[in-house]
Amino acid sequence: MTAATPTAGHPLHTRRDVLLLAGPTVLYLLVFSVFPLLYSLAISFFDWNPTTSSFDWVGLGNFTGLLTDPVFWQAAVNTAIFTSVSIAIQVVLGTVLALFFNLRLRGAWFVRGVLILPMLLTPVVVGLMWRALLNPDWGMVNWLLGLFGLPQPLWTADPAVALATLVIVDSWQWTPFVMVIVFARLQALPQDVFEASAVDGANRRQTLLRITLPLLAPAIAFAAIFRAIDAFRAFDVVFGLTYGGPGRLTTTLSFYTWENGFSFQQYGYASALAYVMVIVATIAMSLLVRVVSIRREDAA
Amino acid sequence: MTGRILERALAYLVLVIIGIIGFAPFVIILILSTKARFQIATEVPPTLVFDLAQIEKNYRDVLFQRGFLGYIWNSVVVTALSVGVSLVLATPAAYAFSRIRFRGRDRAASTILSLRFMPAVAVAIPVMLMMRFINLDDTLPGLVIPYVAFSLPLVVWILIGFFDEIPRELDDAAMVDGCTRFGVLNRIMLPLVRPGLIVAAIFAAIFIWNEFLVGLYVVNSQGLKTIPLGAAGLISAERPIDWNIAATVGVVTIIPIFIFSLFIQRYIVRGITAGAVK
Amino acid sequence: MTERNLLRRSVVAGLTAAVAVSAVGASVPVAAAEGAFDPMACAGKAVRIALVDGERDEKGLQDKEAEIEAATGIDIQLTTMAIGPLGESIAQNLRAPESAFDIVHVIGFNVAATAGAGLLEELTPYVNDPAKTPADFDFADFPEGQLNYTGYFDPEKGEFGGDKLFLVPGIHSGSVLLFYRKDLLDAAGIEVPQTWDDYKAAAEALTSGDVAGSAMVGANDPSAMLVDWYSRFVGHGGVLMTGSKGDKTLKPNFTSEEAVEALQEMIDILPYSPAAVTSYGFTEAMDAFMAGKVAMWPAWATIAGALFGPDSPVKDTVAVAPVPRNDESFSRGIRGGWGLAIPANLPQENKDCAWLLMTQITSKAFEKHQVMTYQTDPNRISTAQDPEVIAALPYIPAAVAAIEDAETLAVANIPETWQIVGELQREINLALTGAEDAATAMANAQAGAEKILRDGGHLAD
Repeated sequence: MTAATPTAGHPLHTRRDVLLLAGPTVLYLLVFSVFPLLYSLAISFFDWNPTTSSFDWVGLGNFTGLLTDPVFWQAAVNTAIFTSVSIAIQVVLGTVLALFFNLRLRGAWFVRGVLILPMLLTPVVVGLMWRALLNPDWGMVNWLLGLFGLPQPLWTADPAVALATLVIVDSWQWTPFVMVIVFARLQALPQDVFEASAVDGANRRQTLLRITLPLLAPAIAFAAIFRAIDAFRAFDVVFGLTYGGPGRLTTTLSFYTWENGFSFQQYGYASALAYVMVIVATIAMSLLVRVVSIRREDAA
Repeated sequence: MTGRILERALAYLVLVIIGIIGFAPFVIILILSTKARFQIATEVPPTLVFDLAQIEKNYRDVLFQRGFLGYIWNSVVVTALSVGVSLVLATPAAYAFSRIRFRGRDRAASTILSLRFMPAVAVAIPVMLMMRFINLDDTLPGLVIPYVAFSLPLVVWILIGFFDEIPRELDDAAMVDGCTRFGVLNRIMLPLVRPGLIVAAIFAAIFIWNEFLVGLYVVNSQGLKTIPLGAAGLISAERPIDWNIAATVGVVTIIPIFIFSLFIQRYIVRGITAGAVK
Repeated sequence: MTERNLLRRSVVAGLTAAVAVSAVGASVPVAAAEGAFDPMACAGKAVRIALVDGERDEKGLQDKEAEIEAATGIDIQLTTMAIGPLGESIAQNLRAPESAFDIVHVIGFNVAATAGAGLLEELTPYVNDPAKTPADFDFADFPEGQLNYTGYFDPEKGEFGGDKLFLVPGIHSGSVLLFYRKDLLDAAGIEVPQTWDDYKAAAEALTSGDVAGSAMVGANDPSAMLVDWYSRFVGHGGVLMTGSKGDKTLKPNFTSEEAVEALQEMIDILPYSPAAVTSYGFTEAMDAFMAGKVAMWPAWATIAGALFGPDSPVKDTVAVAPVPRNDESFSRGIRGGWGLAIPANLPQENKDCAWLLMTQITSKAFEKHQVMTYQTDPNRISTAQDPEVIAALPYIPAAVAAIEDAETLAVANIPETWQIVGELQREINLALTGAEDAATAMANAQAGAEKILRDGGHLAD
């Protein structure tokens, strides 16, 4: 479908239009987004430590250093586990919640409002809040567990539990995000499909599986992709709760990048890490998008 | 019949449970914000005996001595400005991406989206150096400029989705009548895409409001700090955390957001309903 | 010229001269007699000072700003930054054509990177010049140990100490003290432990009910290494590094007997520590002590103010003592602290005025106010001997005495300090959680640290 219509003018008009409409944005992004990224890429070819002012060319040295860095690989594994488990939980739980709120119970809007709060909170506040709630001595979570005679784990210190703790806190914060998007889509679904299926005698489960979920698929996919991008880059929960520990069990790529940049002042290495993250994420994203569009073509 | 009633009752029970689980952390923080430092570790669970003088002390400390009233204001200003500029830039661009099939369009669109992947850590330093270069470091515009850059990809992407939902025939009809693209945009598209603008604005605002790393490097003066930067001052390497003050900061920053969230719920739903999200 | 005319002229001349002299004399400040200190020498000038945020160092200055500005006429422009960005900003400013700050706040760990790189103004001429320094400044009031950390540095050798002064200690120092419950020790009939063996025995004896004999930072937290492990390590006579970075022989000593023993003692004391000790950061440990659940705890002196404060549940039962050590000749704990310095890349006028302001904010009077109001650790010996201070804050003498027996962290003079601390803190935490034994943990830390040193060019192999 072309944009040119009989009186819309020649392609020249279109090109000028594009320039004027999208130009400012593209220019802005070039200057303030792309340039810093390129600068960062340039830094990754150097060994730059600002406190000692050493700035030496190392070419691909930082990148090969990463490949031989066991912490990098562990961080990659941690990030993969964290991201995939978090998204799985958030998508499923978020969709379930959205369907639940679709029942339109009275007063539900208020509960929804409360549930949205976590994703609006300052990350530092979220971190401190959970550090207080999960405090092994006086935190309310362990106190409650104690009341019911349940085990009271050391949430951030127990190697078996630490990564799970981060998944839980991240899900507490971001499941409502999925819920909101899916819920809104639910409100927008055309009712005639449901009426038709009701006439055909479909029961609730069938309606849900065969009609509702497929129709929701685009929204769920949108939320999943969005969450994938952000969970992959998650930093604040790690920083606030476990600081990458115990050992290196909760060190994610994002945290390791920060640690190299801010704590160790190795900007070159940190930039190289960040670039690897971008490359991996871009590849994963395009795969994901391809899967999603195939699905949508099936559904359509 | 009883089946129905039982179901309904169960549903309400689940609602209440969800409500309690969702609300509980905030209630706890609220209670902790009324306590003195030593009570946090010694009262398990915290008692419901409140000392008004202590409450006043905590809140005065946070709002005035630590300047959170100022930080909230800064956050509001920076967020509003950043979102505003983003919308102004992104709307025509999204329109172009949606409507005009030009060479490299899809490539450009996905490149813009993938800009979102970069962890802030890596761009924080270059951005800070750039702001310093144009003498805008430690100023509010110095924050707004990178924040607009951060939210543009998201806003453009959301708006493209909304524009796509508007039938192209409207454009064509208007242009047949002699309207330019800009005219179409202004007179016809804008009113129709308004829900999309609101949705995009809300999402952009959420992420700008909580931005931390770039702000940490650009802003140094107390008077310019946003909420995340102010909150970062709660943690220090050599001093223990004042839990009661941290809780008070939590409450002070949550209340405006809570009001905001009750308010925007309606808009997000309406917005996404009116022009479905891809 | 008659005699009378001459007389009249000379009288007039004399009167004129007298008037002239008195007029000039009146417009020159009284103390401008050559060689004396003039507080108003920088009147009307601005001095830009950058301090660290979150340590309460800026509070005293904010209180006294008006007073100092009135006494010196200086316009004080204060900026505070979190420790990370502060380091970054200082590094940038020191290398710029001209620094944007006249006084910078340098942590001990960054002294080597700043003074050692020749970026700081040498302060020896200033402190020795009576025209620049108030007579009552009393530089000898600063403990020698502290001056050999945030004070004197030898840029040629890249080592602390020497006779070139680059920083004045300020605004707070940092030392480690043993906090204990005198009521619990008395009830059990135990003396304050002098050695680490005594400490372990005492911890065992004091553990009963829900009170643990000892607490420590057991989480993946720098204090686990800097306080709990390091105090035991130097208390056993351990030497952290051998060799020097100058000739690329800097090597860690983490697999030495003392290093492994120090960690082993931490493991052995776990049964006498609170159950959740492996998730204790500095804050959580303090909470436990404040809740009365701990009998002894070696910790940063910064919490003394809170523990002895009017709201503290343990204010009447807490006491301080020096950290144990196994022999008189060993040190007790880590040396902490900050220093104030003047960038070298400033016009002379800025440096002079910066120094003037510095003398005001490191003076005895200023420090006394800062310490008494905000309970930060003092740098001056006189503060520790002031009866008013002792009455209000009984732990101060111990805090200042601890400075003398403290040991400077031997990796404080390389940029990879935090990386190496990180290697140790992680392994310590893993050993405490039982994932590794002490020997393996220290061997891992040794390997990790050696790699860091090699990558940093301090160890050739």
